Amino acid sequence: MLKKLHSLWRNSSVHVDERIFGVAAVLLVAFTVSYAVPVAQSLGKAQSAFPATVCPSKMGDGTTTAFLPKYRSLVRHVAKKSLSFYKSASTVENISSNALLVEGNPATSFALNNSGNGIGAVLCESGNADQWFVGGSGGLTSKDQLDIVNSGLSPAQVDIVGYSSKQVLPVISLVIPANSDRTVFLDALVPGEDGVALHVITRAGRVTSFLFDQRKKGLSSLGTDFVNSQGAPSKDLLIPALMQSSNGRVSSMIRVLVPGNLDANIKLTINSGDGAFTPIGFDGRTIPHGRVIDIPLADLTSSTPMSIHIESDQPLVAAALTSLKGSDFAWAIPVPPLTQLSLNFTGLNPKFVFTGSNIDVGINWKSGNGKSMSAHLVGSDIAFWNPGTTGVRTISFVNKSRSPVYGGSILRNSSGSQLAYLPLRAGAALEKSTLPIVDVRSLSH
Amino acid sequence: MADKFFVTAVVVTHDGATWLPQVIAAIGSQSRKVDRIVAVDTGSKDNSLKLLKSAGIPYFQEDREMGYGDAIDHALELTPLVDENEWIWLIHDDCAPDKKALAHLLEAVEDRPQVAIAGPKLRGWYDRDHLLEVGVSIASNGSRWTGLERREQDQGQHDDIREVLAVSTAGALIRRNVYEELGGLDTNLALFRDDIDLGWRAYVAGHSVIVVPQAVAYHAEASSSERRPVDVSEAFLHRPLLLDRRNAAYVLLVNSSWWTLPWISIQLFTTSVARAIMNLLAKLPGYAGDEIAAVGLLLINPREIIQARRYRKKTRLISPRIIRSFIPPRWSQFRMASEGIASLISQAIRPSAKEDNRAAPQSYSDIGVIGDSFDDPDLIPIKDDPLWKILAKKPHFILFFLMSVISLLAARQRFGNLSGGALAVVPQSGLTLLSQYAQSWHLVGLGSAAITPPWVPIIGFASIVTGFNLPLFITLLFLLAPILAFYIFFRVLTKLGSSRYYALVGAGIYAFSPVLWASVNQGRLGTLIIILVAPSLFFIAPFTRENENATWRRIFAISLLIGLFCAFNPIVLAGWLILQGYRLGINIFELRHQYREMGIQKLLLAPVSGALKRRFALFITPWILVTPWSLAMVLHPTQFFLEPGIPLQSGIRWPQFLANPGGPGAPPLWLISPVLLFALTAFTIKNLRTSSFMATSAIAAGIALSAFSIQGHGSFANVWTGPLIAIATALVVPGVLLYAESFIPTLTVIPLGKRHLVTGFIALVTAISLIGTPIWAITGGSQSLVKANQEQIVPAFVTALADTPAKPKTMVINVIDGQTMYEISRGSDLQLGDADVTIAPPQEIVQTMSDLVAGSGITSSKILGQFGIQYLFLKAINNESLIRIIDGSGGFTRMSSTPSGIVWKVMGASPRVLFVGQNKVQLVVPSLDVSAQANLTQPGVVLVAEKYDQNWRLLLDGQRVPLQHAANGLPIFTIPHAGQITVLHDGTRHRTLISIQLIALLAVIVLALPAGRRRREISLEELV
Repeated sequence: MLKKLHSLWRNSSVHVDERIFGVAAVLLVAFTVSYAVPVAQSLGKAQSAFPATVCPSKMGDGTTTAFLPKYRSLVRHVAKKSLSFYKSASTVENISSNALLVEGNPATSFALNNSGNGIGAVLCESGNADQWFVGGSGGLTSKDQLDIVNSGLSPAQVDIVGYSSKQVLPVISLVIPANSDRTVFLDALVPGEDGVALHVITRAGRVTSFLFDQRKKGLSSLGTDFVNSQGAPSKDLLIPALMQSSNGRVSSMIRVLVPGNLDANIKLTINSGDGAFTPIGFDGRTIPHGRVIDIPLADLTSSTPMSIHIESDQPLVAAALTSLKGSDFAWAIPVPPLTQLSLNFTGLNPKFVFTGSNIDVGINWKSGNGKSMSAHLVGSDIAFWNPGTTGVRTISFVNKSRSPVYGGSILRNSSGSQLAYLPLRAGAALEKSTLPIVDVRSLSH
Repeated sequence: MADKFFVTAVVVTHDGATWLPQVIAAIGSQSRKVDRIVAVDTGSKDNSLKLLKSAGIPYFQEDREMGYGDAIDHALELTPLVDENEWIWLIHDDCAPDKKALAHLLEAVEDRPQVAIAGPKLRGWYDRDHLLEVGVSIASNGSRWTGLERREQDQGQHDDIREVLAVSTAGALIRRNVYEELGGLDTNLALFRDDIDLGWRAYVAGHSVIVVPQAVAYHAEASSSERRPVDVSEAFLHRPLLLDRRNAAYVLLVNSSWWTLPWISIQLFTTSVARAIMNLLAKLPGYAGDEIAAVGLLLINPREIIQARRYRKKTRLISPRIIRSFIPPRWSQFRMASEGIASLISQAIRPSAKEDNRAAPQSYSDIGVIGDSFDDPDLIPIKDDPLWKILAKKPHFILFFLMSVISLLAARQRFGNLSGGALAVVPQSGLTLLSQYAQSWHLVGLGSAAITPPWVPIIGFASIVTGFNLPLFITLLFLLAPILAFYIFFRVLTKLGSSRYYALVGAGIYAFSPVLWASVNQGRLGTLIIILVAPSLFFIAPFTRENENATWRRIFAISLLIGLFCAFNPIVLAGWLILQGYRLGINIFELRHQYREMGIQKLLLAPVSGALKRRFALFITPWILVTPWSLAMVLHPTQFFLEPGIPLQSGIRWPQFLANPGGPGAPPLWLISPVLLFALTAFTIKNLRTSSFMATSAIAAGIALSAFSIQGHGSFANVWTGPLIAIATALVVPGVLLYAESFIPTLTVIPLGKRHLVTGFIALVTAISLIGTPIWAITGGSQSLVKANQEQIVPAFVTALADTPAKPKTMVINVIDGQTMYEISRGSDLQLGDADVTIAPPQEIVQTMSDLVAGSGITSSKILGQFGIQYLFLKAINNESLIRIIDGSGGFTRMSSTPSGIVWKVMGASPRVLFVGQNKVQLVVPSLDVSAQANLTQPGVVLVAEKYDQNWRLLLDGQRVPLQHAANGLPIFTIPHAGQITVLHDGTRHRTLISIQLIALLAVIVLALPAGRRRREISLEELV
């Protein structure tokens, strides 16, 4: 058949004009041009931005200082009439009675409270829909307060769900006026309860909450600390940095809450320079749901800082409390895996703890004398690092490992009597969004 | 037959030697002889006197400027009254009565004592069956009303004696004593309309006027047909039309009841203006001037009318309204006028129809084979075929019916107010589009001073066919587009000589072309018009070089059509300018030697540059016709590639290669359009090479351009190449089909070869396309982007709020195909034409919206509020993260949350126009759509929340206040003292440009229309 067709074609007397090749050339040029044109795209262009973060106001008896990521960061005080941002005079800004709004920045700010009787550190965070606070107390000896900051320009609506060692408390709904904050004392919220966890849910508005834990015994202070907020409950929690406990002056406790409807079965593993182990009774321990459970870590000794890994069959939230007998205490919380983080520690002497199966962290810092330096921290299970005697101004960490690495810092005063933990976690997640485009199609079908 | 009457014939001559011999003979040969005859010659320069003398008719010589009435009066003065039965018979020197005319006239008046005037039936001098008058009246607009159709033939249809308002003085028999009692003909009416005036006066004096059709006179109408000069003293500038119109107005104004005068005056004026415009369009400016001057002459001298009315009052016995029954009703005037226009258009369109009919044999006897009796219809047995046989013989009826069914089924989701795809919401009235074109500031986004494209008013004006019901017009257009395309292409192919069957195939290819269905489904209004106009436009061959020798009328007609064509798609304008520019370059190159020899001035005046001038006119005229839009495109050349309406992504390169523009709603590519095959095949045919090359080039341009994406019309998409594909289709299909019609029969006699294979392949592809596309159209293809009665995007309460004095704006955020988009609304969805004038918002808005969506917009509400954006509406309610971001951004208070979206109020937002006083007091300046007015009690500043434009004005107590540019890019005015303010957008420049465009359009229309002929240029045979 094909042969027949071929012979038909050959025998034909049709004369094909040579100019047909000109037409073919025109079409070829057209195709070439069309393929040569770079494909213009207006869709899918992504933009990323760091939202503004809020540092807490002065809480308790001490002073609060914001450690800003850079000199002349744009800041403004919440609850003040002026909505204009101003440039900070230095990288360290004293915070008055008003919370401080820091313009979005890739680096993370944090605040340090120093009352003389204790120190506490907290990350400055962006508006969060969900914040879990595991820590604090509503007991008579405590003066804990939850500061809810609405940095937005419209009223915010916030629900607070309190958990005690006995029950889930009724939801409390609050309306926070625009550009203001509101303080709720825990002794009013969960009166008489030592074991407290809070779930702060933002229904509308740009809200950031801070929990400040201040304890006393009679007239003497037992210390102060911020309870850093943590994200949604998870089945796998890692609290990266806990101070070593070798001389008996340090006691530790973990507080867990299973907010779901089923009891959880947990396993707890402690990592330290001395090795990894699961304390007796923590392998397959059942945690009842809906109640705050405090579990003392008795007889826990370690020559190095530690990390705690909690595995559970139900989502839970947890925190670890380290108490320096009679002088101070600190709450450590679980953190998400480290990616990249920059902080300003001017004037402080932090110690960093990293934990993970394969630790490979790049560290760049500017020393106290302004010299740029770098280090490469490699290890397994747990690794420690501090900038040394030259001190540190700004520091950045990058996880170079393929496996997750978790980090935290331990802050102590020069005498070592006061303690604070700061999770190595970005205060504001990089908000990635598709760049919106002005387009009339939004007004048409 | 003996009678009691004495008849005095009065002949008035004035250069009438051409007709006078017959007139004298006609009088002399009357069966009832005249009893007395007298002639008055008003200064004839020809041999009229000699003729009178040789005929033995007593005559008097008068001045050349003497009017007709004066001449009659003078003749009667010299011929004394015989008795009360004396009648005068007025005979014009160009009016020959039939030999029994007088006898019939006298017979009719004998038994009718109330009759004072009787007139004959007037027929043409040359065409003796041509009925000129059977009595005459006057319309309320001054027209001379005969009640006859154009060139009506006398077949006895008006042969009853009846009362009429008046009869022409040509052949009128008038009772002498009544004539004298009435004062004769009004001497103010030296010529024309004196007959109607006399008739009117006779009625109000208690007499009547009849026409006696049995009496016939043949009239040459020498004066009104401008066959002799009008020398009467009243004839200003000796212009017959001017005198006629002036006299018509005079007759109405002096005879009508006083209370009808205002209405009559209005009618006279408007009719004069309308007639003047029509005369201008017909390139008869002299006649246009006559129409206007006629009314002017009366206005200048009202005393004449007052005196004439006083005089008539003396002889009036009955109300002037007695003659009401003779005034033609308005509807019959309208009917007659429209029939006349239709007849003229028909003649213009089919000028050779008559000749064709004459040339074609009308009967067997015309062929000369058999005798006349064979054509007797009674002898031809009529055999009724069954219906199927009749339809089989007329397949186009079946296919039209099928096409209609397919279109209806495919459009089942498009019955109603259409929107979607590239088509924005259609306003309720076409007048809205006309006013939009005239506006200098468009309420789109933050406002725009962009030029509205000319397709907007054209569509608005075209909606006149649906009584300016624009939604109905657009619905019908989209519904009927395939049917119309089918019909138009069928007509063009048959006119080109194609047989009915091939024409149907061609029409099918065109009506089921992918570009048409893609355009319908995507709402491509501009391309649809291109598809519908292109076949007819290309039929007049606008691209050929023969146009360089064409008449100027043809040049401007082509330019006008191309201008209309380009108004709907700038890409076509770009193509036209390139093509004509290229040809113009060749013309210039060809004249280089003549330029060296003659210089530019002489060359341009020389006939040799005719081609160049015509080519230049073809190049520049369409461009001028679409100014100022085309000027804007010169400044922003990417606008050449934007289709009317909302930009929409379409196919890239391969669809274009297959003559399918692609995109949502386009037919699938496997339904291969045969157009490219046609184009390539046409290249092997010598006389089709040019069209093939143009079609292939259009497709190649489409392939290349489809890869380019451009920003414009408020959105971003690749270049829509539908018009190029439509043009390629219209260019190539007719030629190939005509060739195929002669070529395919030869396939049976040539040896089997390539020709058979190629032809078979093309036929197969065509058949698949013709069968597959209709099936697709009524199944998957009916799910188009364009749908009827779609829900409004902007919530109704936001629409309602937009009408408050603060004129708030709403930022509408939508997520379409994963892309977050926003646009500022003035309270409604995007309307037809809005996208074409949309311009980018200020950078402040762009940055603010980016920050807002990213969650970092701390001051978003403040900035949006400054621009008068009082509401934020999120259409995408499933985008929870965006909702949370906006909720958390601050400054936005939720107002409502419904399944259709969430509305936030922007706190502290400004109104459209805000006054901030010295003491910081803020006042909402009540605003209309564009302007605003208020009475301010203190100095301060006025902020206008519209995009900055140099034409924003603020008048403080009538004085202009300087415009300033606020820091955020808004217009701002500093008010130095209290007073009345008016904020407005100055559209003077815009209106000037539009006026220039209208003048250019009018000029081109006039130049393109066939010229009217002066009456003296029309042969007498045509007239009478």
